[in-house]
Amino acid sequence: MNGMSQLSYAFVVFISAIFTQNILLSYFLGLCPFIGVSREVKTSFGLGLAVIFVMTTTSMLNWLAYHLVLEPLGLQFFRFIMFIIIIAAFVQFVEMVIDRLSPALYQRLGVFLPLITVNCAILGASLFMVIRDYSFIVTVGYGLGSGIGWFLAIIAMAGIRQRLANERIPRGLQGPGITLIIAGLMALAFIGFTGVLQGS
Amino acid sequence: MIRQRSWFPIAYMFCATAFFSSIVIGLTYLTSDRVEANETLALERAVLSVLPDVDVEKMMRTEIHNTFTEMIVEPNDASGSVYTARNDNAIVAYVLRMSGQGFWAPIRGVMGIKPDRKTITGIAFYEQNETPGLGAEIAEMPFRSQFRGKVISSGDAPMKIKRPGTTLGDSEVHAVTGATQTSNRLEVIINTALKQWRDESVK
Amino acid sequence: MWHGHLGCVFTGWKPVPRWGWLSRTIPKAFGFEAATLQRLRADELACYEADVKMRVAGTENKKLVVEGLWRNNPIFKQVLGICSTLAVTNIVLNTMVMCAALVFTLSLSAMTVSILRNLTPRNIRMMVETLIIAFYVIIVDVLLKAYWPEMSGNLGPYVGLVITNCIVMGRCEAYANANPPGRAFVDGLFNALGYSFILLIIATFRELFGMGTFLGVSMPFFSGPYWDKWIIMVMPPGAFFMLAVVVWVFRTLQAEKEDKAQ
Repeated sequence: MNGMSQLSYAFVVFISAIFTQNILLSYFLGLCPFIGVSREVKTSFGLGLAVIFVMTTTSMLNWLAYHLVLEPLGLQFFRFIMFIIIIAAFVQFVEMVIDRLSPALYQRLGVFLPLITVNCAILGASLFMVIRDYSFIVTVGYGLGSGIGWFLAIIAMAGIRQRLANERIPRGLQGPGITLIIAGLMALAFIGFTGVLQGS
Repeated sequence: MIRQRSWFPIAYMFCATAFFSSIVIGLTYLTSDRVEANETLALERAVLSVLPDVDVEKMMRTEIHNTFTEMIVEPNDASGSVYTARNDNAIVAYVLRMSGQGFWAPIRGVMGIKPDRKTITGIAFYEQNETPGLGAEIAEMPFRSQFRGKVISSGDAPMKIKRPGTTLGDSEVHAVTGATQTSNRLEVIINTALKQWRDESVK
Repeated sequence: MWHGHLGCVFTGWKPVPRWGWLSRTIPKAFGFEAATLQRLRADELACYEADVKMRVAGTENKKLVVEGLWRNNPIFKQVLGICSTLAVTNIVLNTMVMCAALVFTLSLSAMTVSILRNLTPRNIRMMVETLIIAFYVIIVDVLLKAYWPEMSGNLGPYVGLVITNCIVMGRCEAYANANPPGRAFVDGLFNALGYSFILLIIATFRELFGMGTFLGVSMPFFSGPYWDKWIIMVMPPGAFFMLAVVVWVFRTLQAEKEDKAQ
């Protein structure tokens, strides 16, 4: 679509998915676990890593499913069901593999995997990939970038909330309220990254 | 009991999927003509709106379609990859299609160019989903009317979109205030399409 | 004498039920005294039982309404399921369409899940729920694309994201799986309405402050020269701030009400 090569476009998409088009702070996807789990840095770290992994791989799998199966058959509207099935199946598969290979890793990360299946960011990344008609290599950049962007946001949020744990917050704002205000300020800050890379 | 059999879940899933899918497929099939018609209408309306002396706002659906079929010739060898608008065998304008990635979703539009292949008659968008009040203002008249009469420059950047408040040259327009990302991307989209046409015409 | 709902009349003492769950839950609520049902004739007894059932059902439905709209409001109490709709709240019209889609999907999915609840095997019930929700969402998507293409473009992928919306999945899993279709429909309907009215409040402020219009119509003061449009309201941070304010206001109101009740 653009003048530059697919690889450099993939890089631009990667950078913009982390900063200027952060899937959480600009597109509001993945808010439920973001508000719920971001109390501690440790748990957020685990969840964030799991999201990066699942988002990248499922974007790629969904690209293959969409362009190699659904499009030739003319069944584009099935993409909703197909993507969800792929995501759920993949997460289930990963859970089994981790459990088999490394119980220690399962203890740390495995508990988050069911939470990820309902994370709208995963499905949302695939749906955006379809709307924007990305090629495969760009999808890899996009999935990886979105995952890292989400991870960045939740780590920052957890760090801030940990420091706020001992502050006096008005009753109505405790919990989700203050989290949303912090999220708004972060979104504002990330807008400042506009133009940091040519074309982002 | 049939429910206790081991194959029941699979059979159930299969039947349920088949049942719901067939309803959805049926509905899609019934509405597919209409969906196509909507898309064609959007494109035709956009193409007609960049032509001089054509007032699209007053036209009904069928009139738009008829006028389009009368006046517009599909891309051929003579014109390259653009539509040609003819009125009684005289070329009124060339209509260049452009598309690319916006901030939220793809932006698709058309640009009308006079037979001299340099002066712009207008610009219109038939698909965009930028932020309302910000990026989406590119589809409104204040932004679009800037393009009328502008000249495509022969340099590396045929058109430039500059910050509001700066003085403009013949190939420059003002961006929408506060919509930096959309404006940047639009500039890339316009220039890519213009450069591609220029390269084709040279051959 | 005591007149029941169905117009039947009991003579004698006000009865107290002596069977199972009735004797555990009803007495205080209906102010019964310690008398026995043995004084009732058979027809009076039948009348009484039907009457009790209807009172319980009535309170049950009313409870669902209150829960969905206020006590357990999906947005300010549970703070769930906001991801799919927050993006479109910068214009009231888009929000209305999105909320209508959600009401349609949630109430009908809950009802369908409930109808099939006895037939569905336990281990695949989540997949079946997802299938049913996806079915209704795809119908909405297809109809919008055909009959309102500009709106379909405005809502973008967010219509499809209703499938993973935690509210829809949550209500189906928590309530519709174990309750009859009528109740599930009411529960779904009022949860979706409770969700919608908060979103419409947010959208109203965002469109008014950010663009000076409401439903596309310019408002007197806000589009005039004395109001500098708050562009931030149209951008993502504005959605976060507005939602935070709404959550703050409603939670404080709720807390005060609960304090007063105690």
